Amino acid sequence: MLKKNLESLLVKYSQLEQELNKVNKDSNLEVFPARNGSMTALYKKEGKSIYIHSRYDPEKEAERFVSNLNIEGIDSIIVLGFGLGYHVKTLFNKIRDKGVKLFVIIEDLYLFKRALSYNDFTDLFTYEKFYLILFEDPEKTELSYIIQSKIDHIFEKIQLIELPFINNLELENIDHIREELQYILYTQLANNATVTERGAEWEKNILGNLALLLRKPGVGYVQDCFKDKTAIIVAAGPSLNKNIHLLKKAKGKAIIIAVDAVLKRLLAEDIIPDIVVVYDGYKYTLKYFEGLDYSKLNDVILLSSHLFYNHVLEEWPGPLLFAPVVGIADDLLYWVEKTSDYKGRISTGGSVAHLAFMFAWQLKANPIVLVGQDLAFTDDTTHVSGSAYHRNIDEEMRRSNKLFLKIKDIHGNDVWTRNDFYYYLVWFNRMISGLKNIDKDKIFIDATEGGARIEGTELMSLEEVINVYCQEEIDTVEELLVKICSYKPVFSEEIIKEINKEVDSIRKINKLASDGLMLVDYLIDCEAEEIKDIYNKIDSLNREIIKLGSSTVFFESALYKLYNEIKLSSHNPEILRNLLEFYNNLHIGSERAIKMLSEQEEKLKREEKKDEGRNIRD
Amino acid sequence: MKVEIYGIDFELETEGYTVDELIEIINNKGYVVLDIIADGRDISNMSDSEIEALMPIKVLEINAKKVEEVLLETLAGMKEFIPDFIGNLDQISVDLTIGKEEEGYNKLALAMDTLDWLNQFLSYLNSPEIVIKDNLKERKALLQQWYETIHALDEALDNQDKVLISDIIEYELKPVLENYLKYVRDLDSIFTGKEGQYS
Repeated sequence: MLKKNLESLLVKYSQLEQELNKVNKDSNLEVFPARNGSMTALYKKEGKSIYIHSRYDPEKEAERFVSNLNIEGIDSIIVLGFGLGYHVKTLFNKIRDKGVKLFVIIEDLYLFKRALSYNDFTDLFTYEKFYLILFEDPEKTELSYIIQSKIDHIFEKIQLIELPFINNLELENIDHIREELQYILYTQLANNATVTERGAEWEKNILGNLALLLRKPGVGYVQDCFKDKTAIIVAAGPSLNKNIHLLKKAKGKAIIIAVDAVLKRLLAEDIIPDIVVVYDGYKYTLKYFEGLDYSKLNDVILLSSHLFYNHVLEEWPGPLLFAPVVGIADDLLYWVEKTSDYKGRISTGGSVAHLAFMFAWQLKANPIVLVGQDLAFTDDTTHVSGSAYHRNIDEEMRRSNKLFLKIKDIHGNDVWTRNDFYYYLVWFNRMISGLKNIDKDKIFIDATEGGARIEGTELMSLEEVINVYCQEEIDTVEELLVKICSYKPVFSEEIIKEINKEVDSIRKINKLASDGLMLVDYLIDCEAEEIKDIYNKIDSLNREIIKLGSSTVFFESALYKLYNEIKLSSHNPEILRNLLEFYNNLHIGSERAIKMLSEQEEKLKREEKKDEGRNIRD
Repeated sequence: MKVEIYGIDFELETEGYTVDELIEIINNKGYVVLDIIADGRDISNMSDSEIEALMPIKVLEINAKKVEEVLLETLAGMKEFIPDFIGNLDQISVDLTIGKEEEGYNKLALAMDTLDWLNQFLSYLNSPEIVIKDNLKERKALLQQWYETIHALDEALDNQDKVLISDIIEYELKPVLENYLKYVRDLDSIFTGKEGQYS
């Protein structure tokens, strides 16, 4: 049995062979027959014994466990623990025909190896969507990386399952693993909620930015341009009130990268940042640009995600640099890059400050200094005064539907924060730890002078930072400006053909959506004997939409959630209402996409003519 | 102190006796004292010092019932209760193993109270002053099985071994409760058969 299991396991996980060969008997684990003849296991430590599986009937125990799990509609299951494999095997049998991804975190290699001797796992190991992760493997961020690289960042529904015995095994790093798994789940939920809420707005922005994306450089163009120079990331936390005035002293001696929320306040203090970062193209961010004095911003670079409002980007007087964020409209970005240059990517945890921070990392700045990055309600306020969202904590708690919690501040005292700020903090902690593994000489400084303790950062006052790291004038910022301004768009004329191809596909989707609406309409009043036939037609129409949708870059992302439900089965009367909503949204969304794509095509042609005119004059 | 005793069918001179002495006399006559009320206040579960603090008592009421009647009522209640109790035990195993630990342990704590009640009843039947003409072998076997199971469950609870707790519930406690129920039914038919098996 062991040989047979190993043969199928090692096809996908050949590196495991060595690990399994190294495994020694674990004196804390005893494997013996249960009353029904199957093998069971007992964990013994310090005179205490804990059963890993039933001593009577491990299969029945696993069956009871699995039958009580609610996994309907789940796309991915992450199981923490394997034991002798009964639970995982039973679970696998339940999901194998549904195409659900199964991630299994092996907690003990000795037990795993024993399991391979007693049960046939060949079907499981050869299942295309089975992923095995060793408990000992994961570094600080590796577990989430392994899992997140295999799932849809937004729409995949994930279920975490911890096997009943795990808690008793006193495993090292178990808290870390649980934290990681919770982080995956949280980011997934947060992404989903954000896209559901903002997807339509983002999609409009992305489509509106198409021509600009082709004509402007991305972060990939300026990588490593600020090597070993100081970067100061200015966020809008309340502690910024303490040291904002010092930023003037850093001007010209470090690169000052400010998030959108703090721009007005900086200008009011007569501080001109070198770069302003925008990320979330959602209505509340527009406040940061209302009544802004653009005259001071001619030499300020705007670093924007591809999700931001086109009119703000168009109006910006300084150079524009795109920072496409990982995981949102990836297909579109690949599509754009197919006919132009690589725009680069930046990974974030959902905050504009993350984008600024990772950009500084990509520039190879050193040290990277955080200012105004409280991530907590320092002095019981939410943001720096002068920010559009400055409030006191009482008002914030009354108005916000978010959760509030207490964490440790830089002095080790309790401080209030919000759950979204907290996860931004967790992201920083994890990212800094991961980046230090890549570059151990990189210095991360928290010069916020308040707020949450960000792990892996050195605490310094901004004054100290300026005294130590901002003493020499640098011309790198100027060089960066020149480089961005001298960027020559490299997209080919193929893009027009590509746009037309997309428009054709979307027109077909639009037609299918209209047909779908008619079929649902007909279904409501039709004779009983016709129902089956109509459902079949709806099924075939949906298959066609799925086929076209997956090959169409501009598919309406906000519909994916619904679209996934419809994939389950249309033979359910309850789903009729969803179908109606689906076809309606698809119809409206595709019409909007066609209109916007045509506008972008026109814009590109106009710009091309202008370029030709310029070339002739030159 | 005026003493009124309800539920007994014999004459009892109360003058000059303490409360404890009165209870002993009632018990010796084959009765169980259900509650004791002092000036309208239930003192059944009070300690001697608490009762002392209430002195002087003007009116003391004692409610008693024949042991046989109490037994019959208890047996009738158990016959109805135990099958439901067995049926509800499965959910404890489910809750404990699918991550609803708090709910599982809360339900288990309630179940332990019930087991304690069943345990007290068994201990009572087994006490030397009670003589029941039942199947002694069967009772002794039940007692042994019962105590072993409760002990094993206690140990598993101490270790917080959810898998073992579920095993004990499924494969040990449920069968022993079935035996318990059978024994209760047998005992009930002995009493309701009025065969005078109790003395």
